[in-house]
Amino acid sequence: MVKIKNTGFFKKTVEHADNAPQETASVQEQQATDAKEQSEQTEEPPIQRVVRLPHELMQNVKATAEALNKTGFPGLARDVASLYRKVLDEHFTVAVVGEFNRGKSTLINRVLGREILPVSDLPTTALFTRITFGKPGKIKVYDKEGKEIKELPLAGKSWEGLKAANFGEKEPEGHVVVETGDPWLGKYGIDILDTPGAGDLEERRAQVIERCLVGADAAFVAISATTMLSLTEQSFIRHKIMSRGIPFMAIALTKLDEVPVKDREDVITFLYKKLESLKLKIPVVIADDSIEIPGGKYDSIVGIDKLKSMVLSWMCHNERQELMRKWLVTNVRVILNSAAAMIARQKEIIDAGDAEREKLIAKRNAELSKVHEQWETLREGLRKRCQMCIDEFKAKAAEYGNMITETLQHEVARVPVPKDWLENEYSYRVKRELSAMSLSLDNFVAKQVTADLRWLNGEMSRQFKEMVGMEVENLMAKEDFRPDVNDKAIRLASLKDQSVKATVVSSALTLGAALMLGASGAAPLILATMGVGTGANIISRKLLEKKGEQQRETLKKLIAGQLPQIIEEASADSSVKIKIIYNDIINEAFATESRWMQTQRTLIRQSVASSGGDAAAKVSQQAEMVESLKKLFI
Amino acid sequence: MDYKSLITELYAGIKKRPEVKAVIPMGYVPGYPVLTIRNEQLIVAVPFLRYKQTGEIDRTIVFPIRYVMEFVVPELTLVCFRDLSVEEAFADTDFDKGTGFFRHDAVKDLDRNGYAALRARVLAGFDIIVKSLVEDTVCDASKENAFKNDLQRAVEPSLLGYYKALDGDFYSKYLKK
Repeated sequence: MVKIKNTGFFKKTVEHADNAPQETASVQEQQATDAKEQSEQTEEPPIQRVVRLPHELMQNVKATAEALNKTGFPGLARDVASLYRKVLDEHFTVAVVGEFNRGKSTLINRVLGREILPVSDLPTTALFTRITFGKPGKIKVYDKEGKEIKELPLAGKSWEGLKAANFGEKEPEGHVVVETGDPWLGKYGIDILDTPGAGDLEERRAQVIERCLVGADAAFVAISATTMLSLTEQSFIRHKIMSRGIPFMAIALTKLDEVPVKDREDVITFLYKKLESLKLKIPVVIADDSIEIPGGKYDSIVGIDKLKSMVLSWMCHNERQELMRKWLVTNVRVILNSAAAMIARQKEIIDAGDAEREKLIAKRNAELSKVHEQWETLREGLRKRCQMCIDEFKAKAAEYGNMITETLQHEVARVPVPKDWLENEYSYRVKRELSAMSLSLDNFVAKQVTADLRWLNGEMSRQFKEMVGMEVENLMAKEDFRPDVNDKAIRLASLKDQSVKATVVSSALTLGAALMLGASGAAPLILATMGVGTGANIISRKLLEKKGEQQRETLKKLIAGQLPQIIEEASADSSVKIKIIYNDIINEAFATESRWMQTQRTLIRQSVASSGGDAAAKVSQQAEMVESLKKLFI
Repeated sequence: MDYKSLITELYAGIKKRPEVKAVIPMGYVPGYPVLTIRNEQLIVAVPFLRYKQTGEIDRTIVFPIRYVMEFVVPELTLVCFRDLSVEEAFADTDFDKGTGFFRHDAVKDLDRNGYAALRARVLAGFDIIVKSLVEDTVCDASKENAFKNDLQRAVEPSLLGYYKALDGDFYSKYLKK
């Protein structure tokens, strides 16, 4: 037996040849090394900002927060600091969408290098799952109200009970947040959203997907190499992604390993040709490091690294950077304007004589009460507009229903074999028409909301200016980096290589969603049609045992009888959803008013307490300071 | 006694060893060993795992390390046999599910002979470490560095977690990148 003397041999690191130590490291050195290693292991990596706002701008924001704090505006300083933190904490959300069994979860697992999500041939993901950076790894489950209901360890068994009920049980509701220590997510502040299969004939799932897309910065559509670009997938890309103005998107081709090696290149070529024929200019990526594709023609799109670099290139896109800058500058200006208005009022009171001061304070208080009344009037106005929107929505839905009925009846009158049309086409045609209707109605509501928001902003701006001399730039500022609702010029996604357009319409929906997300963790939906069933399969065969013309007449009646019901079902809770959007705006406006009123009253009280030369000088200094700060954010 | 090529020789004849024949199922092959010091004795732990050929280049499936045999050095007497599938630490591991593919990126440029040469170099590197420990001499830093580089290149990335579980110190010193 040989006794080993150097028992700590494996605890020491390998030294470089050129500076190999002559003797072993001291205990202190060893401890220092260990401590350093430990701290490196436990410390979370800071998010590496791919989108970098100008250093000077960030410094200015920081300086503004400090200056406001020093000059007696701690509340406003906190608001500015919160904006600063929001920019630093901004996450880039990538949604992975597609029909079920397209390998979405496998794709995500591959990108993250470990089996985070359960994979199965059956549709598994019933909830939308946000994967974000966090240590230690865990699964948090939220109910549909956005309240955390349980926390589970990040392990395979935890997913039991969260999976889709494939055998008829009630499906779980809410969403799941998975925290994992993946360095890529941590380093760049990326969140990944896994969604339920879009092809599921279950409306609630379609709603979940829409909710995910509303808040996503980018989307990967998982398309299986074995079932390439089905009609529903094409419709999904056009109507659910492109029309919603998701800024960036790509197709992730999955399951290529199920295609024989010799056919793989042809399959990819086919996909490109199909996309070209459909006029869809969408990049394709194959996130699989182990896939072999002979020929080398498509090497540039193969590999997990290609997908990752695609995401990073999206993150540092100029337009995104510009949006963030604009958002930050606008919001800081709103705060500074607020400070300037407060100082001006304070100065007026301080400068006034004792007798006059009492009158002025009374006048200010009366003004504030009037402002409060006007806010209330505005809120009432918005409620009326909400009802008008709902009424118009219903009228439009009925109008569209009639149009669809007429279109389909017209089609039936011309099909050679009505029975075949019913069995093969009817279901698809109804879905397609409903999908188009859904889009139009979504757009209608978005336009209405945008117009009403603009009205509210305009009114508030005018009244604030009249009453208290304060400039209001955008009191309904969104909680997200999206185009300003009042800025038609911003077309976030009108990128050269993508025929994707983000118009003011989608911005309004995004706004509603952002407000909603802020309030309850859930986003509204107007109308979901992806999962609307047509009932074609329940039609008695007897109806079709008749001959040609009789079959057509039967079908026409069937369409006229069924469609109104289908549309009614599809739009059943739309009124509620519209109300939610408006209520949220009203609540936001109310919160803004309360904050503002409180600050104003505090300032008036302070003004009463302070008078004389010192107070006047102080207020003058404050005014100068705010004015100089405002110049930094032009 | 000459300890010059102890590990190389162990590996050359490992399949013929009666202990291995007795407990390691057919189809399992030895992976790269792990060295560890316990009670002032040097132990070489030989992991066994299986590969499954799919017929496609670089798509041979690598399965998790299932068995480990530990031999005391220099006698090379078997002192421990472990079936990881019954150990609590590996309770969540599906040993029937592939963990990665061979060849991995780091060795993709090597042909059969090139890979054999790399494996031989790695085993020779183990020999150097073992010799220095047994004879209590200072290990040549340049050789140790070369060994570390070769070992990191040779070990399948998908197996790193298992190596870490087998011996954290050895993993940190030679395998952690």
